[in-house]
Amino acid sequence: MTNSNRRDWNELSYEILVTILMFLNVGDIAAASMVNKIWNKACHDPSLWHTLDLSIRSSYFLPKKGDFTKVAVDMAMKLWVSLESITLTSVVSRHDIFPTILEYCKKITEMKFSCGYIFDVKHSEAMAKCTPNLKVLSIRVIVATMTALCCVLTSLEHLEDRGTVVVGIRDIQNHLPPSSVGKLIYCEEGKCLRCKNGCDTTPIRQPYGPLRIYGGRMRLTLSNINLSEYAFLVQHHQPSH
Amino acid sequence: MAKESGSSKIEMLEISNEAMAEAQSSKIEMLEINNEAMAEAQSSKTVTMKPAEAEESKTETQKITDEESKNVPIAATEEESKKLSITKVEESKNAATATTEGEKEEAKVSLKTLDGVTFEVEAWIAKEMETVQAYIDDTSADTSAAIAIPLHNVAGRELARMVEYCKEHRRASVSAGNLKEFEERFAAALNLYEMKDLIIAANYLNTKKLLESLSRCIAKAIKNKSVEFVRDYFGVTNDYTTEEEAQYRETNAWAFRNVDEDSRN
Repeated sequence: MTNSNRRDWNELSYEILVTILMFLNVGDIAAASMVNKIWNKACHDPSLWHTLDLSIRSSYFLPKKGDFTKVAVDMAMKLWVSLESITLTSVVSRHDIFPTILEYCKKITEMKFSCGYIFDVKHSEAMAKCTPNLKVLSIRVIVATMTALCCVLTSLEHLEDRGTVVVGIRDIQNHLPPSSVGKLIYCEEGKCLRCKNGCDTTPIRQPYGPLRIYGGRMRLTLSNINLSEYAFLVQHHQPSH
Repeated sequence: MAKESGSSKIEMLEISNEAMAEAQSSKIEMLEINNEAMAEAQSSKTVTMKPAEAEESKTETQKITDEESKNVPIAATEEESKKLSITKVEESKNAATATTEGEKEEAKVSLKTLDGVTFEVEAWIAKEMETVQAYIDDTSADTSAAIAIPLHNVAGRELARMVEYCKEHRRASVSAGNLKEFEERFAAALNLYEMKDLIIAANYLNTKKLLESLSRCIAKAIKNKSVEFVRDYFGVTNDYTTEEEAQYRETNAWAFRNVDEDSRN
């Protein structure tokens, strides 16, 4: 399309403008609303907002409370094709989510796993199969079996160094191959912020309910910056109880 | 009489690619009017029109007669004969694709544009233009066949492009690949000025497929572009005050993360 003979489009009618804006996503509509006041008015037309194209966003958080059916989860995932990061909480069936992710959200590279209290072989195998491109993984459960952890660390080839965060597991070095230990962040000395807060019963600091202490000592980890940010958001999205 | 002949309207019996090219360059030549068609038209007018319209009918008949007499020598030339041959070929093609099962004459709709050009188009093309179709539905079949429908806001150049689009779109819609290729080629041939006039005409005539195709093309041109780019691209005046703009920009800062760097100039 050449710009020769370009001419003033101020006379373009409101309804034609709305028709054009219908083919833009949310970000482009927001930018178009700043062109001038007529465009701003067109950008507020109700017909533009019957359907939202949220593909410009790269991460979303699902609330902890509320039951999601499989159909609802599928519908959401189908819309978020460009999703890159996801936190799984117990409101989503821990087995249904992975085939859905495999089918609709192939761009996910960051995952925080907070479903229930156990991370076992079923979860690690599902991850290895359905989210092979993971770079950052946070496992925040009370119990993570050694077999499951080993499976995840050896199967997810793209995990970054220190890209996996584990809460509540003992004697890691003695059970994992040396090449996998470098991918972990964990704490043995009880000095990190998470360890110090581990016994705090303030609800906002206990998103998953009370943490149990094993053997009188709790092994916790520090999250990297990105995951800390997610954790912060998660805590603020959850209602106090 | 001299003034009347000077202001006489030009009618085009058949639209072909060559005719459209001539229309775009503002050179339109008269094609011979069939005697039988004229006779039937006259008969139809006599039967159905009111007395007031009958007078108009006479005037039009005289104009047609005058123009016919002028064209007789021209029609005899070899060039004119060639054009008639092309017209016949085009006519047979159109007959093959026409959706109506009525008589050929009833399958034609006359459209008179803002600048006085009269187009005769197939009924299925007129149906694509919902404004035209609504007009036809509001009048009786007999009168609509005899009188050209006036399109006060559409110029001949735009109407020719719209008719071309409808025909090619039907041909290309056999496969999705061909359709997309056709729409891209069609849009690439237009400059921004022509694009604007055409989308206004398509909106007025409610030609939905063309309107959507053009809107999508324009939206694609401004996707991920900065506000300044959009203003410059469309020649749109910025009527925000400096304070208003700063406020809106702060509120919508999240929308500019995807802006192409080269459009921030």
